[in-house]
Amino acid sequence: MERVIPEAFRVVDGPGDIAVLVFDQPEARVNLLTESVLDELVRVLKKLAQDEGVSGLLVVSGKPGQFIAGADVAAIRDVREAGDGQAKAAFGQAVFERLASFPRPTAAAIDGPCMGGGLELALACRYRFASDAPATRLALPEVRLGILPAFGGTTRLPRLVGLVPALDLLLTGKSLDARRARRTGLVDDVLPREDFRERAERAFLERLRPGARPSRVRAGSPSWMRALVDGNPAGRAIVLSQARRRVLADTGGHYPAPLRILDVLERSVGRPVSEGFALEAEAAGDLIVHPVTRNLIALFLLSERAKKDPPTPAAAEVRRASVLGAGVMGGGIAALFAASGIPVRMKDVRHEAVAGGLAHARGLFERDRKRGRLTERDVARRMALLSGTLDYDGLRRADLVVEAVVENLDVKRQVLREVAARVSPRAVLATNTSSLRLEDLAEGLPSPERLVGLHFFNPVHRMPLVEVVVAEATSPSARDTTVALARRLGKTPVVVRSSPGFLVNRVLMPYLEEALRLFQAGVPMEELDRALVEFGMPMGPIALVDEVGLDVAMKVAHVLGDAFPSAEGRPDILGPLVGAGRLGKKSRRGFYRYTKEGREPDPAVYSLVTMPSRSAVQSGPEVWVERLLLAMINEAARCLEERVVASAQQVDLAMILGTGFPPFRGGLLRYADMLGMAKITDRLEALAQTEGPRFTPCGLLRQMRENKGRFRDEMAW
Amino acid sequence: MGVSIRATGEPRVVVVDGVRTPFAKSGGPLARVSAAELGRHAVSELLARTEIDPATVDEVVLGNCGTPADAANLGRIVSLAAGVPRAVPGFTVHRNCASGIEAVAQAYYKIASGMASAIVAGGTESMSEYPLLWSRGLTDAFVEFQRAKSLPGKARALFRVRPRDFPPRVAIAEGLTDPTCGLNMGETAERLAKEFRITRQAQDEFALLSHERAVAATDAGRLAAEIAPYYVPPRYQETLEHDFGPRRQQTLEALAKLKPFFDRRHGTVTVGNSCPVTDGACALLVMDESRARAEGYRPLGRIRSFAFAGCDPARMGLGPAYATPLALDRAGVRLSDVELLELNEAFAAQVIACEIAFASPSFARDELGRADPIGGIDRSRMNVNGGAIALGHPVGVSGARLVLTLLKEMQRRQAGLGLATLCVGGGQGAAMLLEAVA
Repeated sequence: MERVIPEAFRVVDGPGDIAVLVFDQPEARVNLLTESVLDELVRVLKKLAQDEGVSGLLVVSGKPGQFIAGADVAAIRDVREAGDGQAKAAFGQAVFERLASFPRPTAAAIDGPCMGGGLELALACRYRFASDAPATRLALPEVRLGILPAFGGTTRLPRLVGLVPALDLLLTGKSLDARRARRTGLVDDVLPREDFRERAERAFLERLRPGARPSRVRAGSPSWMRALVDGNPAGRAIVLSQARRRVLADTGGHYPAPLRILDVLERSVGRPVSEGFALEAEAAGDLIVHPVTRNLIALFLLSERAKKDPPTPAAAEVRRASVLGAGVMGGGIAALFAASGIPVRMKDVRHEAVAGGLAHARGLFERDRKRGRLTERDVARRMALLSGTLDYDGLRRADLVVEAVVENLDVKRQVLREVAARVSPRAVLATNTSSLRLEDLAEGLPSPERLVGLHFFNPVHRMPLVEVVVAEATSPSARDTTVALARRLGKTPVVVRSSPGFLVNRVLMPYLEEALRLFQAGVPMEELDRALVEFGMPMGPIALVDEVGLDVAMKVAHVLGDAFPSAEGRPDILGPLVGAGRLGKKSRRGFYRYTKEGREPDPAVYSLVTMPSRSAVQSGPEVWVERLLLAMINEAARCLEERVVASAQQVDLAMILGTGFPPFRGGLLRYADMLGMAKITDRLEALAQTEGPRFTPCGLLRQMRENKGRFRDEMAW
Repeated sequence: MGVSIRATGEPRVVVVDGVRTPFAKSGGPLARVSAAELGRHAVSELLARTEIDPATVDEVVLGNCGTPADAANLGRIVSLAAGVPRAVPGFTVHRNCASGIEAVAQAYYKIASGMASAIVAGGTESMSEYPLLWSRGLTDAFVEFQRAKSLPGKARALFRVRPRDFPPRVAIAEGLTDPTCGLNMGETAERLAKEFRITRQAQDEFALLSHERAVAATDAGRLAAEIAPYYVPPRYQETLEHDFGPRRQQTLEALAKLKPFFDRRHGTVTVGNSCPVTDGACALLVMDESRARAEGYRPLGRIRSFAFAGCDPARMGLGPAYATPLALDRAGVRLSDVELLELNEAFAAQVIACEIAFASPSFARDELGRADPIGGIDRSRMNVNGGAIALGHPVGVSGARLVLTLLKEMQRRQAGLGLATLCVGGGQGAAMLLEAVA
């Protein structure tokens, strides 16, 4: 064939007359199943099917360690019509059906990530061989984007591995390594990564030999389960209804994709595949235009971009780190370093504190070991990277020092000064303050350009966000080193300017304060919390205050109150509660009472309802939710106005990753766009009339109303 | 043999710094901590405290006696676990109780010959970890059982086992018994006590002195200066800051009540006047002096000379009396020039025997072929911070520990010359002279 445009596929002769179809997308790092790639695949398969000399077809990737990354998410985003989505799915199914009905045996040799459409392609082959490389991971992550595998995957997977394991993969989108994939029955064999293609060719040839026994290892579902579930309509119904109940419990019904996947399975398992395909395609069309899906896709693209953006040209490698303060925060941060293979030395003022930090880290690792994610050796290796001390021994070796002592300006200042005198002249000083300004902390530091904020959220090992805080004085190398490090630790960094509360806490505080005001006006805490959970928040605002700790919340409120004084004052409810020893969940008493059974509202707290307002109580959940969200939107807009953060997208990412703002809403400001600037400013103005001037819409919101602007159009501020 | 090992212009070898774990009697707080983990702690703390770039370390050498089955080459295993880059090699040395000092000697050879400029040397030992071993009979039966292909074959293998095969062999007991003379270490001490006519009273008094000095040194923080506190895994509820051995309440009366352990009827050696079996580790940074100075280090001291010597295995406790004169000759000094002395306390009887032998003209004449005795030992300059009877004797470690304790005390006293010497199971002695650096 002679063509000018470079092609994604080439066919080479393998041993024993097998044809090896090499997928190698030109000028790309990974293989993506774009429309033109699928077009080309049809042509190649057509031609090969007519070639009588071919004994079998083996699909491989021409990119070492990269099989197929899936479909092009940006292309999915650009689908605007349900019919269009349905047609695209049907086309993909038709292409893979050619592979499934290929006149000779077929196999896929998977080395590297095999995601989404890539796995659907492999599922259309008769055999699958996976390499034992750690990068080899198999997944159908479509559900996370709000769609479903619609190139035949939803239909084929349960037929291959059984309904129960298939549900697990389809509903969570989780990935399997080669070993687990084999145990699940997803791949036929795991082969050493060295000379993988040759080994796959040989393994395939062996299965082509006449009389070769069909060595299918079907470990996925044991045969009794297949008989009970897959072959039995009643068993299927039970399994599917249980799965539905679990999905509803986990997602609050906010996410349509997993429910739709269950619909498709309910109607297709046990039926001809063609019926499954039709249902898949129809579901894909409907889901792809669903607003939740659009939000999830936008969020996915945003988080992908955050992995590279901002770039870090001035970053230095962090080979060793120190953490000052071995409390829950310090211990958690140290554990994170150790988990990323970075030796880290913890310093505190008492041996018990250091030991506590070590115990905390080990507890985190042990939990992963019990879940089978780490071996005993892994735990030992990680613990060997941790050391502890009471003095500054060994500090000079650290390329980066994280200060995680108590949130108190004077204490932090003193510690930073002590450290600055003892670290290497190149070391970055990162302070894990949650609200103090770098400028204040830098006072008296010989080289303030090395000071940067690295704000982790609690619990450190679970929260994916870190705020990297930069001041005027902060050097590009300190900033870049910290951003690169945050990524290495597996976190998503958002760069924010040093200003009180930074971004997440500052935007969250008005939301919490409005919640406290509503509570003081007599709104029952559990009803208020329920309203926000129904909106999609992981927990209600009052429960969140309990979780964070009333003392901590109060401290942050004070910092913000000092920075942004308001004539209206702030809710004065936390002080008396903290005074009474109600610190929240950690002291088993906050707004709620915590027992072994769970939490219940503590009636004693209602004596603090000081400004009962019948109208607030009667206005109902919708008005409460609106009031809380508008307060946040107004504050987020102020942050943009003040250049605390670079873009509206970063606000959205930060609020989702830092506070659990519901991903299906696409983000706080994406949600604001959906409401529209006119409605937002109108409602804020009305609230400013009835509740107080704090609701007065900020300049940016008013200006956007004038210009009919949207946050999403403002890429950078 | 009277040759000085330092010719002019040869590289000088210094000990930059050192650190050790707290020592704990076997079965004590470190009982569940492996030798590899103890060594890791000592080496990684040494690297942290000296702040040396581990990539510039040329070798890690550790002494160890009871090789754990899962850690054949501890020097290498500890090196990797402590964060020394994999390109840096490591090995393990075994000269019984002198293994720790042998590691320092190895560092000396490599640096003096120009093959290295920085070496981590020390030792690690978990005597709690010493296993019980299956008897030969049980082992043979097990192997046959594994190999048998048929059920009757397997059954036959099981029937071979006799009741006498069941009691396990105790590795620590066998390890502390000399295979040549058949005596265990305590019995060799008994032999010295009888030969040198050392009373029970004298031994107990010495043991008490060891405890008193160790307690005083602990309280004054002198031992803390060489100890890196250990947070005991896996729960980290205990932080071991000090040695778990010195007894505050030790009295002569209490010591006198103990039954002789090795010779129940006529003996004088008790567990009270012997060192306990112990867990611990120690690491020293040994460097070429010019490199150390170029990198801004202020070394603890310089290795002046050392010697190993053999003697009668049944009287192994006299080892220091054979090795010390060699080391002194090699340095061209006399015992009276030595201002501070660490003589390892395997047994009080053995230390006292050494004191007698050092001062004895007839010992010098008959055993060493020398006209003059080595010289008298002044107890006020020996083991001033207590010794192994109180602190413990992790066999593969003690040699390095003596060098560390000696150098730190020499620095405090601004002493010019010090001697660290040990008796060695199997009939050897080791001695090392260290001098202050200007």
